[in-house]
Amino acid sequence: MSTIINADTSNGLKLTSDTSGEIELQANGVTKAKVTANGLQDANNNVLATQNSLGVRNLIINGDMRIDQRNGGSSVTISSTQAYFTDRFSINCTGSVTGQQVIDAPSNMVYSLKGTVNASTLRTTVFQRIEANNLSHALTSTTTLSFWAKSSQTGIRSVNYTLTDSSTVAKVTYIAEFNITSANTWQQFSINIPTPSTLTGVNTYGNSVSAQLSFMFSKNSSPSVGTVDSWNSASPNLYSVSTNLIDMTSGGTFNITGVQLEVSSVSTDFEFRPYDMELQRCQRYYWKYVEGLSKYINIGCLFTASAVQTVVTFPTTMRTTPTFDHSTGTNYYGYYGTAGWDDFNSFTPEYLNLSSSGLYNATQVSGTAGHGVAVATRNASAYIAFDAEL
Amino acid sequence: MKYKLVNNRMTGELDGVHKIMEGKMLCIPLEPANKDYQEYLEWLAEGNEPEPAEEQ
Repeated sequence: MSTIINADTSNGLKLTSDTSGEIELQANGVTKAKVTANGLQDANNNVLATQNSLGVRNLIINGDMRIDQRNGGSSVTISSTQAYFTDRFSINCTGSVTGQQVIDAPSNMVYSLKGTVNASTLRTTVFQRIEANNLSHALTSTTTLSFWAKSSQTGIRSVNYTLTDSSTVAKVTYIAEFNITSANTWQQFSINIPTPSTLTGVNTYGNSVSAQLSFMFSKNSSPSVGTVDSWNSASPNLYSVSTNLIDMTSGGTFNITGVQLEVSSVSTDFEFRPYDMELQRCQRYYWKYVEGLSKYINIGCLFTASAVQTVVTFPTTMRTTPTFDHSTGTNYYGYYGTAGWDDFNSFTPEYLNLSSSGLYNATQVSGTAGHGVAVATRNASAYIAFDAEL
Repeated sequence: MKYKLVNNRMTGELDGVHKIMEGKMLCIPLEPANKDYQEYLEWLAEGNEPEPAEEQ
Protein backbone atom coordinates (compact mmCIF):
# COMPACT_ATOMS: atom_id res chain seq x y z
CA MET A 1 0.00 0.00 0.00
CA SER A 2 1.39 3.39 -0.96
CA THR A 3 0.89 6.42 1.19
CA ILE A 4 0.42 10.03 0.26
CA ILE A 5 1.42 12.61 2.80
CA ASN A 6 0.05 16.10 2.33
CA ALA A 7 0.97 19.08 4.42
CA ASP A 8 -0.20 22.66 4.12
CA THR A 9 -0.40 25.67 6.37
CA SER A 10 -4.13 25.41 7.04
CA ASN A 11 -4.51 21.69 7.73
CA GLY A 12 -1.15 20.59 9.02
CA LEU A 13 -0.13 17.05 8.23
CA LYS A 14 -2.71 14.79 6.62
CA LEU A 15 -2.42 11.12 5.75
CA THR A 16 -4.72 10.24 2.90
CA SER A 17 -5.62 6.70 2.02
CA ASP A 18 -4.99 5.43 -1.50
CA THR A 19 -7.53 3.51 -3.55
CA SER A 20 -7.55 0.68 -0.97
CA GLY A 21 -9.36 3.05 1.39
CA GLU A 22 -7.06 2.12 4.28
CA ILE A 23 -4.13 3.60 6.10
CA GLU A 24 -2.04 1.06 7.95
CA LEU A 25 0.18 1.85 10.92
CA GLN A 26 3.03 -0.62 11.12
CA ALA A 27 5.90 -1.46 13.42
CA ASN A 28 8.72 -3.70 12.25
CA GLY A 29 6.70 -4.44 9.14
CA VAL A 30 3.67 -5.70 11.11
CA THR A 31 0.33 -3.91 10.95
CA LYS A 32 -0.69 -2.68 14.41
CA ALA A 33 -3.64 -0.45 13.53
CA LYS A 34 -5.61 0.78 10.54
CA VAL A 35 -7.72 3.75 9.62
CA THR A 36 -10.63 2.60 7.47
CA ALA A 37 -14.08 3.78 6.56
CA ASN A 38 -15.20 2.36 9.93
CA GLY A 39 -12.69 4.46 11.88
CA LEU A 40 -9.59 3.42 13.77
CA GLN A 41 -9.22 -0.36 13.92
CA ASP A 42 -6.72 -2.83 15.27
CA ALA A 43 -5.00 -5.40 13.04
CA ASN A 44 -8.01 -7.73 13.49
CA ASN A 45 -10.44 -5.06 12.30
CA ASN A 46 -11.87 -4.34 15.77
CA VAL A 47 -12.99 -0.73 15.93
CA LEU A 48 -10.88 1.30 18.39
CA ALA A 49 -11.00 4.67 20.07
CA THR A 50 -14.61 5.49 19.39
CA GLN A 51 -17.46 5.60 21.86
CA ASN A 52 -18.52 2.06 21.03
CA SER A 53 -15.10 0.66 21.91
CA LEU A 54 -15.32 1.97 25.45
CA GLY A 55 -16.78 -0.01 28.34
CA VAL A 56 -20.48 -0.27 29.16
CA ARG A 57 -21.42 0.28 25.53
CA ASN A 58 -24.21 -2.31 25.43
CA LEU A 59 -27.55 -0.56 25.92
CA ILE A 60 -29.15 -3.92 26.69
CA ILE A 61 -28.96 -5.24 30.26
CA ASN A 62 -28.36 -8.97 30.82
CA GLY A 63 -27.93 -9.51 27.07
CA ASP A 64 -26.26 -12.88 27.66
CA MET A 65 -29.12 -14.06 29.90
CA ARG A 66 -26.84 -14.77 32.88
CA ILE A 67 -29.16 -13.31 35.49
CA ASP A 68 -32.42 -15.11 36.30
CA GLN A 69 -33.51 -13.86 39.72
CA ARG A 70 -37.17 -14.75 39.28
CA ASN A 71 -36.94 -18.38 38.27
CA GLY A 72 -33.34 -19.48 38.87
CA GLY A 73 -33.32 -21.56 35.68
CA SER A 74 -36.72 -23.19 36.25
CA SER A 75 -39.22 -23.24 33.39
CA VAL A 76 -42.45 -21.26 33.51
CA THR A 77 -45.42 -21.57 31.16
CA ILE A 78 -47.54 -18.53 30.38
CA SER A 79 -50.76 -18.24 28.38
CA SER A 80 -52.00 -15.15 26.56
CA THR A 81 -50.02 -12.77 28.71
CA GLN A 82 -46.51 -11.51 29.26
CA ALA A 83 -44.03 -12.31 31.98
CA TYR A 84 -40.39 -11.71 32.80
CA PHE A 85 -38.03 -14.68 32.52
CA THR A 86 -34.29 -13.97 32.51
CA ASP A 87 -33.88 -10.56 34.12
CA ARG A 88 -35.06 -7.64 31.99
CA PHE A 89 -36.34 -9.97 29.24
CA SER A 90 -40.04 -10.61 28.91
CA ILE A 91 -42.00 -12.96 26.68
CA ASN A 92 -45.29 -11.69 25.32
CA CYS A 93 -47.57 -14.24 23.68
CA THR A 94 -51.13 -14.58 22.51
CA GLY A 95 -50.94 -18.35 22.98
CA SER A 96 -49.00 -20.56 25.37
CA VAL A 97 -45.22 -20.48 25.67
CA THR A 98 -42.84 -22.16 28.09
CA GLY A 99 -39.78 -20.05 28.83
CA GLN A 100 -36.57 -20.97 30.62
CA GLN A 101 -32.98 -19.87 31.15
CA VAL A 102 -30.90 -22.78 29.78
CA ILE A 103 -27.20 -23.62 29.53
CA ASP A 104 -26.92 -23.50 25.76
CA ALA A 105 -25.05 -20.68 24.06
CA PRO A 106 -22.44 -19.87 21.43
CA SER A 107 -19.31 -17.75 21.39
CA ASN A 108 -18.02 -18.01 25.00
CA MET A 109 -21.44 -17.37 26.45
CA VAL A 110 -23.14 -19.88 28.76
CA TYR A 111 -26.83 -19.09 28.93
CA SER A 112 -29.67 -18.39 26.56
CA LEU A 113 -33.39 -17.78 26.94
CA LYS A 114 -35.28 -20.71 25.45
CA GLY A 115 -38.93 -20.66 24.48
CA THR A 116 -41.14 -23.57 23.49
CA VAL A 117 -44.27 -22.68 21.58
CA ASN A 118 -47.23 -24.73 22.79
CA ALA A 119 -49.66 -23.81 20.00
CA SER A 120 -49.44 -22.55 16.42
CA THR A 121 -50.59 -19.28 14.80
CA LEU A 122 -50.01 -17.25 17.93
CA ARG A 123 -47.74 -14.27 18.48
CA THR A 124 -44.56 -15.04 20.39
CA THR A 125 -42.23 -12.17 21.21
CA VAL A 126 -39.16 -11.74 23.41
CA PHE A 127 -38.57 -8.12 24.40
CA GLN A 128 -36.65 -5.75 26.62
CA ARG A 129 -37.78 -2.23 27.46
CA ILE A 130 -35.11 0.44 27.77
CA GLU A 131 -35.25 3.26 30.33
CA ALA A 132 -34.89 6.75 28.88
CA ASN A 133 -32.09 7.51 31.36
CA ASN A 134 -30.00 4.89 29.53
CA LEU A 135 -31.04 5.76 25.98
CA SER A 136 -31.14 9.57 25.73
CA HIS A 137 -27.67 9.79 24.21
CA ALA A 138 -28.48 7.17 21.56
CA LEU A 139 -31.74 8.53 20.21
CA THR A 140 -30.13 10.74 17.60
CA SER A 141 -27.49 8.25 16.52
CA THR A 142 -27.09 5.24 14.30
CA THR A 143 -27.18 2.09 16.40
CA THR A 144 -26.32 -1.50 15.66
CA LEU A 145 -28.08 -4.51 17.08
CA SER A 146 -26.35 -7.87 17.25
CA PHE A 147 -27.55 -11.14 18.76
CA TRP A 148 -27.41 -14.91 18.48
CA ALA A 149 -30.51 -16.99 17.81
CA LYS A 150 -31.53 -20.48 16.83
CA SER A 151 -34.77 -22.35 16.35
CA SER A 152 -36.06 -25.82 15.63
CA GLN A 153 -37.90 -24.24 12.70
CA THR A 154 -36.09 -22.39 9.94
CA GLY A 155 -37.54 -19.26 8.41
CA ILE A 156 -37.68 -15.50 8.59
CA ARG A 157 -38.22 -13.75 11.91
CA SER A 158 -38.62 -10.05 12.73
CA VAL A 159 -36.92 -7.55 14.97
CA ASN A 160 -38.96 -4.56 16.06
CA TYR A 161 -37.25 -1.56 17.68
CA THR A 162 -39.95 0.84 18.83
CA LEU A 163 -39.42 4.24 20.40
CA THR A 164 -42.26 5.04 22.78
CA ASP A 165 -43.69 7.68 25.04
CA SER A 166 -43.39 7.28 28.81
CA SER A 167 -46.44 4.99 28.86
CA THR A 168 -45.02 2.54 26.26
CA VAL A 169 -47.22 3.88 23.50
CA ALA A 170 -45.38 3.35 20.18
CA LYS A 171 -44.31 6.49 18.32
CA VAL A 172 -41.97 5.19 15.63
CA THR A 173 -40.94 1.62 14.81
CA TYR A 174 -37.98 0.15 12.94
CA ILE A 175 -38.57 -3.34 11.56
CA ALA A 176 -35.92 -5.71 10.25
CA GLU A 177 -35.76 -9.39 9.36
CA PHE A 178 -33.41 -12.16 10.41
CA ASN A 179 -33.48 -15.49 8.62
CA ILE A 180 -32.80 -18.69 10.51
CA THR A 181 -31.53 -20.89 7.70
CA SER A 182 -30.45 -24.02 9.57
CA ALA A 183 -32.54 -25.71 12.26
CA ASN A 184 -31.12 -25.95 15.79
CA THR A 185 -27.95 -24.12 14.79
CA TRP A 186 -26.74 -20.92 16.42
CA GLN A 187 -26.49 -17.99 14.00
CA GLN A 188 -25.32 -14.47 14.75
CA PHE A 189 -27.20 -11.55 13.28
CA SER A 190 -26.24 -7.91 13.00
CA ILE A 191 -28.73 -5.21 12.10
CA ASN A 192 -27.82 -1.62 11.43
CA ILE A 193 -30.49 0.79 12.64
CA PRO A 194 -30.29 4.28 11.14
CA THR A 195 -31.02 7.46 13.05
CA PRO A 196 -34.77 7.60 13.84
CA SER A 197 -36.89 9.42 11.30
CA THR A 198 -38.65 11.33 14.06
CA LEU A 199 -38.61 11.69 17.83
CA THR A 200 -42.01 13.37 18.02
CA GLY A 201 -43.75 12.13 21.12
CA VAL A 202 -40.84 9.90 22.17
CA ASN A 203 -39.87 9.95 25.83
CA THR A 204 -36.28 11.19 25.73
CA TYR A 205 -35.34 11.50 29.41
CA GLY A 206 -36.16 10.28 32.89
CA ASN A 207 -36.88 6.96 34.54
CA SER A 208 -39.75 5.81 32.33
CA VAL A 209 -39.58 3.71 29.20
CA SER A 210 -38.15 5.11 25.97
CA ALA A 211 -37.91 2.05 23.73
CA GLN A 212 -38.89 -1.57 23.36
CA LEU A 213 -36.64 -3.98 21.47
CA SER A 214 -38.64 -7.03 20.40
CA PHE A 215 -37.70 -10.30 18.73
CA MET A 216 -40.68 -11.78 16.93
CA PHE A 217 -40.32 -15.55 16.67
CA SER A 218 -43.86 -16.43 15.55
CA LYS A 219 -46.88 -14.55 14.29
CA ASN A 220 -50.58 -14.75 14.93
CA SER A 221 -53.18 -15.02 12.18
CA SER A 222 -53.52 -11.29 11.55
CA PRO A 223 -50.38 -9.51 12.66
CA SER A 224 -49.71 -5.80 12.34
CA VAL A 225 -47.34 -5.57 9.38
CA GLY A 226 -44.82 -2.80 8.73
CA THR A 227 -42.20 -1.88 6.16
CA VAL A 228 -38.95 -3.76 6.61
CA ASP A 229 -35.60 -1.95 6.95
CA SER A 230 -37.42 1.29 7.58
CA TRP A 231 -38.67 3.51 10.37
CA ASN A 232 -42.46 3.24 10.40
CA SER A 233 -43.96 6.46 11.72
CA ALA A 234 -47.49 5.90 10.47
CA SER A 235 -49.44 3.65 12.83
CA PRO A 236 -46.37 2.44 14.73
CA ASN A 237 -46.94 -0.68 16.78
CA LEU A 238 -44.93 -2.43 19.49
CA TYR A 239 -45.59 -5.74 17.77
CA SER A 240 -45.48 -4.86 14.06
CA VAL A 241 -43.70 -7.53 12.06
CA SER A 242 -42.34 -8.30 8.63
CA THR A 243 -44.95 -9.77 6.33
CA ASN A 244 -42.52 -12.70 5.87
CA LEU A 245 -42.51 -13.69 9.55
CA ILE A 246 -43.23 -17.41 9.90
CA ASP A 247 -45.88 -19.08 12.03
CA MET A 248 -44.23 -21.56 14.40
CA THR A 249 -45.99 -24.86 14.99
CA SER A 250 -46.68 -26.37 18.39
CA GLY A 251 -43.56 -27.83 19.97
CA GLY A 252 -41.25 -25.49 18.09
CA THR A 253 -38.40 -24.00 20.07
CA PHE A 254 -36.27 -20.87 19.88
CA ASN A 255 -33.24 -19.60 21.81
CA ILE A 256 -31.74 -16.14 21.99
CA THR A 257 -28.67 -14.68 23.69
CA GLY A 258 -25.80 -12.25 23.19
CA VAL A 259 -28.16 -9.33 22.62
CA GLN A 260 -26.22 -6.10 22.16
CA LEU A 261 -27.44 -2.68 21.06
CA GLU A 262 -24.71 -0.07 20.69
CA VAL A 263 -24.18 3.44 19.38
CA SER A 264 -22.17 2.48 16.32
CA SER A 265 -22.45 1.85 12.63
CA VAL A 266 -20.85 -1.57 13.07
CA SER A 267 -21.34 -4.37 15.57
CA THR A 268 -18.56 -5.22 18.01
CA ASP A 269 -17.89 -8.31 20.08
CA PHE A 270 -20.38 -8.95 22.86
CA GLU A 271 -19.47 -6.96 25.95
CA PHE A 272 -18.98 -9.29 28.92
CA ARG A 273 -19.57 -7.12 31.95
CA PRO A 274 -18.65 -8.40 35.46
CA TYR A 275 -21.38 -10.54 37.02
CA ASP A 276 -21.79 -8.29 40.06
CA MET A 277 -22.11 -5.23 37.83
CA GLU A 278 -24.72 -6.88 35.64
CA LEU A 279 -26.64 -8.18 38.66
CA GLN A 280 -26.78 -4.74 40.22
CA ARG A 281 -27.99 -3.24 36.95
CA CYS A 282 -30.78 -5.84 36.94
CA GLN A 283 -31.61 -5.06 40.57
CA ARG A 284 -32.55 -1.53 39.61
CA TYR A 285 -35.60 -3.17 38.01
CA TYR A 286 -36.18 -6.30 40.10
CA TRP A 287 -34.64 -7.60 43.31
CA LYS A 288 -35.38 -10.98 44.82
CA TYR A 289 -34.21 -10.65 48.40
CA VAL A 290 -34.87 -14.02 50.02
CA GLU A 291 -36.37 -17.29 48.86
CA GLY A 292 -36.92 -20.59 50.63
CA LEU A 293 -37.05 -21.87 54.19
CA SER A 294 -35.22 -20.32 57.15
CA LYS A 295 -33.81 -17.21 55.53
CA TYR A 296 -33.40 -14.29 57.88
CA ILE A 297 -34.96 -11.09 56.59
CA ASN A 298 -33.69 -8.71 59.27
CA ILE A 299 -33.82 -7.78 62.89
CA GLY A 300 -37.21 -6.39 63.89
CA CYS A 301 -39.28 -5.44 66.85
CA LEU A 302 -42.76 -5.82 68.22
CA PHE A 303 -43.98 -2.33 67.45
CA THR A 304 -47.04 -3.06 69.56
CA ALA A 305 -48.19 -6.25 71.26
CA SER A 306 -49.90 -7.26 68.01
CA ALA A 307 -47.59 -5.86 65.33
CA VAL A 308 -44.16 -7.04 64.25
CA GLN A 309 -42.05 -4.80 62.03
CA THR A 310 -38.74 -4.96 60.21
CA VAL A 311 -36.92 -2.93 57.55
CA VAL A 312 -35.32 -3.99 54.26
CA THR A 313 -32.68 -1.86 52.51
CA PHE A 314 -32.27 -2.39 48.75
CA PRO A 315 -28.83 -3.15 47.23
CA THR A 316 -29.23 -0.35 44.70
CA THR A 317 -31.59 2.53 44.10
CA MET A 318 -34.56 1.20 42.19
CA ARG A 319 -35.94 2.76 39.02
CA THR A 320 -39.13 3.86 40.74
CA THR A 321 -40.98 3.05 43.94
CA PRO A 322 -41.26 -0.72 43.55
CA THR A 323 -44.08 -3.15 44.06
CA PHE A 324 -43.52 -5.41 47.05
CA ASP A 325 -43.99 -8.96 45.77
CA HIS A 326 -44.14 -11.97 48.07
CA SER A 327 -45.65 -15.40 48.34
CA THR A 328 -48.36 -15.86 50.94
CA GLY A 329 -49.58 -18.89 52.85
CA THR A 330 -50.13 -20.26 56.33
CA ASN A 331 -47.10 -19.52 58.51
CA TYR A 332 -44.84 -18.56 55.57
CA TYR A 333 -43.03 -15.99 57.76
CA GLY A 334 -42.26 -15.60 61.43
CA TYR A 335 -40.24 -13.91 64.11
CA TYR A 336 -38.10 -15.41 66.83
CA GLY A 337 -38.30 -13.75 70.21
CA THR A 338 -38.13 -14.57 73.88
CA ALA A 339 -41.16 -16.87 73.56
CA GLY A 340 -39.79 -18.73 70.54
CA TRP A 341 -41.31 -18.58 67.05
CA ASP A 342 -44.52 -16.74 66.25
CA ASP A 343 -45.61 -17.24 62.65
CA PHE A 344 -47.80 -15.29 60.24
CA ASN A 345 -48.88 -15.42 56.59
CA SER A 346 -47.91 -12.16 54.88
CA PHE A 347 -46.42 -8.71 55.13
CA THR A 348 -47.61 -5.20 54.36
CA PRO A 349 -44.97 -2.66 53.26
CA GLU A 350 -44.70 0.72 54.93
CA TYR A 351 -42.89 3.84 53.78
CA LEU A 352 -41.94 2.00 50.59
CA ASN A 353 -39.46 4.11 48.60
CA LEU A 354 -36.62 3.87 46.08
CA SER A 355 -34.10 2.56 48.62
CA SER A 356 -35.89 0.76 51.42
CA SER A 357 -39.15 -0.48 52.83
CA GLY A 358 -40.63 -1.27 56.19
CA LEU A 359 -42.49 -4.60 56.39
CA TYR A 360 -45.02 -5.42 59.06
CA ASN A 361 -47.77 -7.78 60.08
CA ALA A 362 -50.36 -6.38 62.45
CA THR A 363 -53.08 -9.03 62.29
CA GLN A 364 -51.58 -12.41 63.16
CA VAL A 365 -48.96 -11.91 65.87
CA SER A 366 -48.99 -11.56 69.63
CA GLY A 367 -46.12 -10.69 71.94
CA THR A 368 -44.63 -8.09 74.20
CA ALA A 369 -44.42 -4.58 72.79
CA GLY A 370 -40.89 -3.30 72.50
CA HIS A 371 -39.18 -6.67 72.33
CA GLY A 372 -36.52 -7.15 69.70
CA VAL A 373 -36.96 -10.13 67.38
CA ALA A 374 -35.41 -11.80 64.34
CA VAL A 375 -37.72 -11.99 61.32
CA ALA A 376 -37.35 -14.88 58.86
CA THR A 377 -39.01 -17.07 56.25
CA ARG A 378 -40.69 -20.17 57.66
CA ASN A 379 -41.70 -22.09 54.52
CA ALA A 380 -39.82 -23.44 51.50
CA SER A 381 -42.20 -21.59 49.15
CA ALA A 382 -41.69 -18.21 50.81
CA TYR A 383 -40.01 -15.42 48.88
CA ILE A 384 -39.70 -11.65 49.06
CA ALA A 385 -38.99 -9.45 46.03
CA PHE A 386 -39.29 -5.84 44.90
CA ASP A 387 -40.33 -5.08 41.32
CA ALA A 388 -39.73 -1.79 39.49
CA GLU A 389 -39.69 -3.16 35.93
CA LEU A 390 -40.72 -1.05 32.98
CA MET B 1 -57.48 -12.09 41.71
CA LYS B 2 -58.75 -9.04 43.53
CA TYR B 3 -57.51 -5.56 44.39
CA LYS B 4 -57.84 -4.17 47.89
CA LEU B 5 -57.01 -0.66 49.06
CA VAL B 6 -54.65 -0.24 52.01
CA ASN B 7 -54.37 2.69 54.39
CA ASN B 8 -51.20 3.69 56.21
CA ARG B 9 -51.65 2.38 59.74
CA MET B 10 -50.13 5.54 61.27
CA THR B 11 -51.69 8.29 59.16
CA GLY B 12 -54.87 6.50 58.12
CA GLU B 13 -54.40 7.80 54.59
CA LEU B 14 -54.53 5.69 51.44
CA ASP B 15 -51.06 4.17 51.07
CA GLY B 16 -51.31 1.55 48.34
CA VAL B 17 -53.31 -1.23 46.78
CA HIS B 18 -52.88 -4.96 47.23
CA LYS B 19 -53.26 -7.32 44.28
CA ILE B 20 -54.20 -10.59 45.93
CA MET B 21 -53.74 -13.81 43.98
CA GLU B 22 -53.59 -17.50 44.87
CA GLY B 23 -50.48 -17.91 47.02
CA LYS B 24 -49.10 -14.49 46.20
CA MET B 25 -49.68 -10.82 46.97
CA LEU B 26 -48.38 -7.70 45.25
CA CYS B 27 -48.35 -4.54 47.37
CA ILE B 28 -48.48 -1.72 44.85
CA PRO B 29 -47.49 1.86 45.69
CA LEU B 30 -49.50 4.82 44.38
CA GLU B 31 -46.66 5.67 42.00
CA PRO B 32 -47.48 6.71 38.41
CA ALA B 33 -44.20 5.26 37.08
CA ASN B 34 -44.89 1.84 38.62
CA LYS B 35 -46.15 -0.59 35.94
CA ASP B 36 -48.36 -2.49 38.42
CA TYR B 37 -50.02 0.78 39.42
CA GLN B 38 -50.49 1.62 35.73
CA GLU B 39 -52.20 -1.77 35.25
CA TYR B 40 -54.38 -1.10 38.28
CA LEU B 41 -55.46 2.25 36.81
CA GLU B 42 -56.34 0.48 33.54
CA TRP B 43 -58.36 -2.06 35.51
CA LEU B 44 -60.18 0.80 37.26
CA ALA B 45 -60.84 2.50 33.91
CA GLU B 46 -62.61 -0.66 32.75
CA GLY B 47 -65.22 0.01 35.45
CA ASN B 48 -63.91 -2.33 38.15
CA GLU B 49 -63.82 -1.47 41.84
CA PRO B 50 -61.32 -2.54 44.50
CA GLU B 51 -62.26 -3.75 47.94
CA PRO B 52 -62.20 -0.89 50.44
CA ALA B 53 -59.42 -0.44 52.95
CA GLU B 54 -59.91 -1.74 56.46
CA GLU B 55 -60.48 0.79 59.20
CA GLN B 56 -57.28 1.58 61.14
